[in-house]
Amino acid sequence: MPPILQLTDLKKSFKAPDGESQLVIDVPEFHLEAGAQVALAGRSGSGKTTFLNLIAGLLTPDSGRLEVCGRELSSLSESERDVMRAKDVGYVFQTFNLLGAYSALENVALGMLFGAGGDLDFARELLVEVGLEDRLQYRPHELSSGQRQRVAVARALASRPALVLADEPTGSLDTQHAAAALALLRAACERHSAALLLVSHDPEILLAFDRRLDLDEINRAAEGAPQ
Amino acid sequence: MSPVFLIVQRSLRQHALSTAVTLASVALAAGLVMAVFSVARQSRLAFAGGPLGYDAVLGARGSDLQLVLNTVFHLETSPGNIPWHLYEEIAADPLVALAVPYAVGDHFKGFRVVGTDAKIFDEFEYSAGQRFEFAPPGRPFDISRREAVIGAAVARETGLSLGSHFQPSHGVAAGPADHAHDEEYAVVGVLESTGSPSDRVIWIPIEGIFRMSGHELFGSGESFVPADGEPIADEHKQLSAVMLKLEGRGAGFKLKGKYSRASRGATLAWPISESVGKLFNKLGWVQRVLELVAYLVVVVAAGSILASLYNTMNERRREFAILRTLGARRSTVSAVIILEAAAIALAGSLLGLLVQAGIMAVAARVVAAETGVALEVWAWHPALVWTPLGLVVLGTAAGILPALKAYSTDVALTLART
Repeated sequence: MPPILQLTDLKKSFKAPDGESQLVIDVPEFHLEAGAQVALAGRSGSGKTTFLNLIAGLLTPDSGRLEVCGRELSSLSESERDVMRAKDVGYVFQTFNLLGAYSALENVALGMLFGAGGDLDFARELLVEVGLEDRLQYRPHELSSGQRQRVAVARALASRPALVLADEPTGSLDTQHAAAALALLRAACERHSAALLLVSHDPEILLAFDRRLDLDEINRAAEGAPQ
Repeated sequence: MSPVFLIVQRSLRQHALSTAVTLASVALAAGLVMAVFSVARQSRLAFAGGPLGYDAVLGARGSDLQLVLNTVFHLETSPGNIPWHLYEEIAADPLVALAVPYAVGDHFKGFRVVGTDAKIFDEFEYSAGQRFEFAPPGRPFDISRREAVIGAAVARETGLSLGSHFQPSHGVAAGPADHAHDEEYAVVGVLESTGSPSDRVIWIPIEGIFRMSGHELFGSGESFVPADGEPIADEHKQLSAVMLKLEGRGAGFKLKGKYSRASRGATLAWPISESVGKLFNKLGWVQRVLELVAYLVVVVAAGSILASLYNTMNERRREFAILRTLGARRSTVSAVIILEAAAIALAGSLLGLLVQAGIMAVAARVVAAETGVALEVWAWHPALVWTPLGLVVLGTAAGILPALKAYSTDVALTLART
């Protein structure tokens, strides 16, 4: 299967409060095939979120090559990266990041409005798929944490993306709901043929994946960092 | 629906209170600006540019403006009297199409009593082709009787109606020292409303003014008080003014040269609109101050749009960051803010039309009560178009700063903080 995500010598540094440049990401090689599901382990502060933000085009690398769906991100303008994100990348956050002014259905529809355009039928279909057919018009504050995360999963798949990035997607859920949410996310990605790259520090979540990687092992910037 | 419009609509609804307060301030500003310009324009038209019924006024030597205000608008005091022979002379002049004598000096409950003759009902047109019309079954006064015809506003505000009797008081305005004359007049006609100062006038035969108890005539230079039934020789008669319709524009020049001389003891106010126009020119600074205040209010309204949007920026950064992760461009989130500002400005301006109507309705009542001049609530004025347009432009400009803030939202950093 051709890789949906391929990166080489990816580096990203930030300026520390003392003014020194601090290398956070230095990954020599990483790839993800279409439809694959990979869990990336990493302790807090190891650069997991930065890694995902680089892949989503929300951050630009200092150097290296990053290809998503066959397009080299450094060759794209910011607005072209926005279009790429709108069409090809779905994002699931630990804190759900739903918009409070919108219903569950509208939140999901917003996931496709900037890419393929609004398709309320598909948005409804996705919410039915995650078991929220009776909560379509509910606002996020009217939903439980588990329900909110299900809406977030549906939203991430709304633009029929080739790649879903999940940043500690179960971090705000208890163990029972976390397992259910993970199963739902993985099943949904599989049904929609979307590759899944999930980062987590939770061993139980990581154990559910056949393919697991430790960010500290592939990230040279983490060498010598306390474990 | 476009995502931008959906987000704008939701945001306005989510911040309903601040949206409502900002809308109200924009509406008040828009209404105030439109009303200031509309009142100014309509007042000028009504007093200095509209059809007044007369071309010129002949009166005592003095100020043109005072003469016009006293006789045409029934405001101010009379500058004095002129002898009867001036009336006869100018009435016979071929340059004069119509001469109507006016004698003033009395009132009833603050409404001017004007002594005149039947020409005011038979020939005078208060507007082109418009003569006074009587509410049935009213009729003109009989010049040999103590009869009166009252304007529509007089009837409405004093309660006088057909068959009512009243006693005029001395002076041109109601006051604590009022004393009623002995003579009692019967109302025989009530005029339909004309929307002109005439609505506030009580018309009686001119002989009635001459013979009113307490009045003295000085037409001959010496005091003359006619006895009951005694004919009044023309040499004793005095008038406050002669209202004139002229035969063409050239007539005004000639008559002004002939009558407005110290030796004649008279003033010919012509053209009437010019006399009142001078007043408006003198008071032009008041208009400019009002306009300045109105402009400042508009700037404050635009500032309130800026403040209300800017204040929500911190709480909305997360929203913008989430939208960016969903693929929204920087320009899209900026456009949302600009459109919100424009939408508030547009909706506020449209509401401003209603505020303008409200202010105009109040202004129209006040002006009508004071002068009889009718202002229109919805009279056309270019300000009705350029105020909303200007406010939308200003309001949109007020959205630029918050939009820049939205534009510069650092997605990764914002999401990391939430």
